[in-house]
Amino acid sequence: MMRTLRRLTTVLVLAGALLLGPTMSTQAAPTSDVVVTTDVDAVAVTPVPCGNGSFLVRLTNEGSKAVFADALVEAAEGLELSADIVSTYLPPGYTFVEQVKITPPEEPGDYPVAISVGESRTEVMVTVDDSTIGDNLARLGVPAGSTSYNGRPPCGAIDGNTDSDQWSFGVGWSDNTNNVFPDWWTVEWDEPVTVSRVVLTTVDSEALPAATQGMRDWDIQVRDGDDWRTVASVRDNVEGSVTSEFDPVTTSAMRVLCIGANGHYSRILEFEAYA
Amino acid sequence: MHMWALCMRIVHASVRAVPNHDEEDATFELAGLRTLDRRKLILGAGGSAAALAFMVNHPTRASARVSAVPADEDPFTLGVASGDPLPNGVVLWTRLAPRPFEAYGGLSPDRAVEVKWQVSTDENFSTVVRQGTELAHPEYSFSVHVDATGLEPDTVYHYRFATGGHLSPTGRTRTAPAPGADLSELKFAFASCNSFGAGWFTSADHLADEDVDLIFFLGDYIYEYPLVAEQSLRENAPEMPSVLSTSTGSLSRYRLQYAAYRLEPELQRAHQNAPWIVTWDDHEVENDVWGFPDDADHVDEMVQRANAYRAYWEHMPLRRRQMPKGPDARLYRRFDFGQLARFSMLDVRQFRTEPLSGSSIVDSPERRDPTRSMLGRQQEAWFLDGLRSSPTQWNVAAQGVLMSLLDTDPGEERAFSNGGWDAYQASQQRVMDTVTQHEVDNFVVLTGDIHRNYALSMLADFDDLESPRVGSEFAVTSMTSGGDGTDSNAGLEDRLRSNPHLAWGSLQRGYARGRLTPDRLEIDYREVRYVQRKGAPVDTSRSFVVEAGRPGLEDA
Repeated sequence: MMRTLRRLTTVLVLAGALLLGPTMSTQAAPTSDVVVTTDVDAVAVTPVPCGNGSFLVRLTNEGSKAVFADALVEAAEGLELSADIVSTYLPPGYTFVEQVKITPPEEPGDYPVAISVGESRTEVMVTVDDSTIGDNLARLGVPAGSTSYNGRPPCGAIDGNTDSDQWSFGVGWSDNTNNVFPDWWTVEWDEPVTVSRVVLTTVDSEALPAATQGMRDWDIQVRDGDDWRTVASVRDNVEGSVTSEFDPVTTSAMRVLCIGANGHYSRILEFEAYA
Repeated sequence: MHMWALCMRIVHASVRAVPNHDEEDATFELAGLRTLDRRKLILGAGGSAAALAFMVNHPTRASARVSAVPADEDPFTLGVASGDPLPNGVVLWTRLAPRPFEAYGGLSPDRAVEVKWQVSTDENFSTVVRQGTELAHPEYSFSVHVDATGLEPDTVYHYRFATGGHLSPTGRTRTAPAPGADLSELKFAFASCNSFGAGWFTSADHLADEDVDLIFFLGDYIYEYPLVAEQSLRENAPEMPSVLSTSTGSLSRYRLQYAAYRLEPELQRAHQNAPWIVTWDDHEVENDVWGFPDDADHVDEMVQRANAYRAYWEHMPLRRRQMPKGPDARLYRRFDFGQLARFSMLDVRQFRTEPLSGSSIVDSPERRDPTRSMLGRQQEAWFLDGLRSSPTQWNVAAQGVLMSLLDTDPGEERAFSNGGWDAYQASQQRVMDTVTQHEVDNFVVLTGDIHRNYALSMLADFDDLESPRVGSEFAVTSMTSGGDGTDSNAGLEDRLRSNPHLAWGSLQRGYARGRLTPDRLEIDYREVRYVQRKGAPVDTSRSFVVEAGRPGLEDA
């Protein structure tokens, strides 16, 4: 389904973005000096609590004078973005890059996003696609962490991304208490699910090897009334990815109790749960 | 009839336009010939209608066109503020933002908005002494900085704004005394480090209730981090809009951060009840920011700084002369309060030399390198000259980071923070030398940044802890940053042992207030025991007195 742009008339009227020099009295640069582009033409996102995607907005000043510029980011109805405007200072020749995050709506379909700086315009098509969820039950849940390191949110552990090299881009969860244990990470479901196997992936890259920076000791637990019951334990781990199998259990929440790490923090790159 | 209609029959006192010369003329005429058709006037001033349409992408022209805010939405969501009081005037601030988390605060970006303002000697505005009209421009996120002049010295005033049928809350402010006036008393407060995510704004709430003439804010007014409930130390923190979930960096994102802070009623009230004099520390831009050179290797940092500085200026009660030019801003400035006190507001971030590596440093030739500077050459010369030439009884530097020596090593060795004046030892000693050699009267430093209350005697030579006391430093703890505090810990006990000139310390949250008379300075440290839960009461945990002519600390 194709959605029409919200406030389309407004977009046309506002196409003249504001541009002005660093001081109020400075002459404004012609609009054509600032060009807006994006890193992608299309983004696919998944309609699950942590199915967020993102794209990059790039503003380039091709003129010879420093300016401030506003890029308007207009999303189709129902699509929530982390910015509806990107304003920045732009020295001559400079490109400013801003990540715009997408909160996917529940309804699958195509949601166009228009980005404009004056007469420079571009578009990103956001496609909400539920066919990629697969049988990993964790992706349907809502996660939480005992604490979270800045830029390492609980959602990182169920975002479907298992690439350790992208660790610094928030694709995994880390706690925020340096060398203090235990920590915990949970995932909770609206409806109970039946699980018999989980895969926990910790950091394991050249920069952050599992043996010195990854998770070492943890318990896999399921919610049991007001308590947590351990269904599997891992100790002295130095691997990047560990599968734990156990008798099928039906539960509304699971917890990773992080007892110890090879580094100073509990780091979960991805948590997968299967029936 | 709306009360404004009545008020506006009084001839306006002054009208100042903001952005450019074209507009200044247009606006003046507009205000002077109020009975004429507004639209005709604007078109007449800006050229033909066709020209305006052609220039739609030319912001200064576009924003010279005036429109009204929506009638059904309050544009004064972010409150009012005043600041930088002079003997004859004060800055009055507001920002129009019917929907503060939307682009342009929910207003149309191709129009400026006319905002009327009034200053009165009474809070009912029965005696309006000054009033006028200012344009709120989209380029400055519809902020208004009225430099209200022609006021009487040392006088309490009330002020308010109006636009499109909406009336702002009423603010209370006070002008500085006349130059050379024989002022018998000045009451002030000082505070710093107000992280949104670290706790509720309980300290600001109590600060608003203090009976003070002036509030100094010493930096870290915002923190640059994402604002999301799950990372907040606030108990029962509500969900935040997703536009706050990203890190600051763009101008639009810094603006959102200020909007989030200013929407907090406690902080609004603290601004509303007294004029503020503000300076920044690092978190207004980014943690540990320093004065990097404007070269090809630091373009990203320059862009971030330009964005951060502009958002800061837009949201603070500052004059036009403090407005940044790209990544550069003149924030350091001086305020004389009669013969009683000179306040030097310092900028300890924009010009400082690159920090030494490591958060804790030891003594070294680099630490003592005379070319390494906390203030930069120009600001330092301005500051020291202001001390030497001061006509006042008290000389106060209000600034971000600890100026006195603080040995952080518990044992025989010595260690220092890399962020304070200790890491710029030559700068530090040049200040102390100036104070000592020129016999600067009653030197006092007010400091933020360190999330601790510290009361220190300042020494003529910080290499000799037996050297004469020549000043006093009062570092104030954070309002929220760090979350709930404690009275003491092992680190504080160590510092008290290693630093005989450190009279007292505490790790609670809060702010401080001071009372200056020609004879003495009284300082009360005001503490709240918790900030992560709401509703903590405030208490004076410790008081100090500095007698004029007797530098250093004694218990009150």
